[in-house]
Amino acid sequence: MPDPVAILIAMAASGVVTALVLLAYSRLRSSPGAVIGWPLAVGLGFVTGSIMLGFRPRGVLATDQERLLLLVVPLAVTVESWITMKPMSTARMVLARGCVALSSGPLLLLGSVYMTGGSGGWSLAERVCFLFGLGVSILVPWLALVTLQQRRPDPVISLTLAATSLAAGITTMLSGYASAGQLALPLAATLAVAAFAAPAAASPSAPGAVGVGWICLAGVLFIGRFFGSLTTLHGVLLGVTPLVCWLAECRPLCFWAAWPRRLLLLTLTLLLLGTVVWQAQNRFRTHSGSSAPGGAPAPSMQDYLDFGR
Amino acid sequence: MRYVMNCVMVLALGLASTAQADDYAIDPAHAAFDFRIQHLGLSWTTGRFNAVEGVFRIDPTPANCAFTVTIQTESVDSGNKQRDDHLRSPDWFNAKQHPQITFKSTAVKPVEGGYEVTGDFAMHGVTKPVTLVLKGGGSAEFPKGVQRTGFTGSTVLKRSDFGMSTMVGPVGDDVQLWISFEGIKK
Repeated sequence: MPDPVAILIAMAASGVVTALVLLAYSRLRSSPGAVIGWPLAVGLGFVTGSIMLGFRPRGVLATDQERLLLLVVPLAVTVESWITMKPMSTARMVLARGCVALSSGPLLLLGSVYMTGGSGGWSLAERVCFLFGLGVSILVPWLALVTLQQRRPDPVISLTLAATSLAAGITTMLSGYASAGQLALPLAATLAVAAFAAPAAASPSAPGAVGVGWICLAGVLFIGRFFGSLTTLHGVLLGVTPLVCWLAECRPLCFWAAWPRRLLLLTLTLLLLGTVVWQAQNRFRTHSGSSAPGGAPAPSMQDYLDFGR
Repeated sequence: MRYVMNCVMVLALGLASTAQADDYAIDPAHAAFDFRIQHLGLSWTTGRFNAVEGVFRIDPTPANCAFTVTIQTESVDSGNKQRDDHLRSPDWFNAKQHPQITFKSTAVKPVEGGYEVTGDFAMHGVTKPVTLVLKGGGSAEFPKGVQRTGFTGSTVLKRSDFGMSTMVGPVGDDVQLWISFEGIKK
């Protein structure tokens, strides 16, 4: 359960692993394999943070988190590495990413009522429509973000993803699925490190990092919505927030200097994210029914963790 | 001749036994599956599952009795929506992955005032044998023309045995279960 110290340690570990992988691959600059350092660093950073937070596989892909961390994320890292290593036509890139996006839904929902059609689940027709729609909703932002990163390489995209991950983590935790929300916090650290490392590594496009980062974030939102109680509205708002970066392509922002533009994009992002977290916090308070006598505050998760110490 | 007589007697006894076995369907309006769990070692938090269904057979030979109960995990209700959302999540019951809690009897023994029922209790993807004593078995006709019988029982289990170890410590590991149900004769 959320323990701020454990979360901070996990975030630090994620950041360190990301930095180390990027450092190791930067030494291979002349090698064609050097570019896979970016997707690998983000993927490994995310998984390391999750392990530090207590993620342990219990069965053969028995839980949503196991399927996210052991299937979907490695799949995204593989595809992004492949795309960055072997330049290919746009159609092939869309196809490769499309395969991952469309398979993410069925993989994450494997064995759940959504797939088995049990009580509260979907019929076959609903299942096909929903899964296709969900796949498209993962693919479109993915393509939009990597296209923008290629057109206008800027660390602000990774930073926006990092900020969104932080907000997604808090919102998912407030929506009743604490352990899934926690996963997004080391992801935020990983993406922040990637954002700051990109200019330092003289590789502003950070190929693959944005794609893997998006899939990790979408995965957390997905399991938060379908296995926890993250509302559709909050999930959608958090999912579209990174697309704010596309404003950089619009007039008059496209003519602005880099720093004022970045500042405006980050401010807009934080405003959107702040609104979602504030609303989630209000919802949490309302549903908690914290009506302790004498105005006593409702206990937090940390209070439970500290109890008896 | 003796062989034929034996066969006839066995057949007759079998028919008589079958005729006396009664099958019941649990009446969801008069069924409850409640739980109690300790909070901070100070008090007990109680909750219930609102969707309980199942069937059972009462046979004059207790070993032939059978009980099957299915509980919809999603129907957990502890009187606090935020807590219920958390209980439904994979941190606790994982209602979308394991939508049902089931009990299926494997052995029934008579005890004073009821039955000692042993069966497979499946929850959170883990199945373990559980024994509970069901007391009751009286009958009533309500409304007219509808035969009912009912039982009540309880048991204690460790939630960590079923892979639910979230917050063990401040929230107790032992869970007291209490079940009471009426069945309508088919």
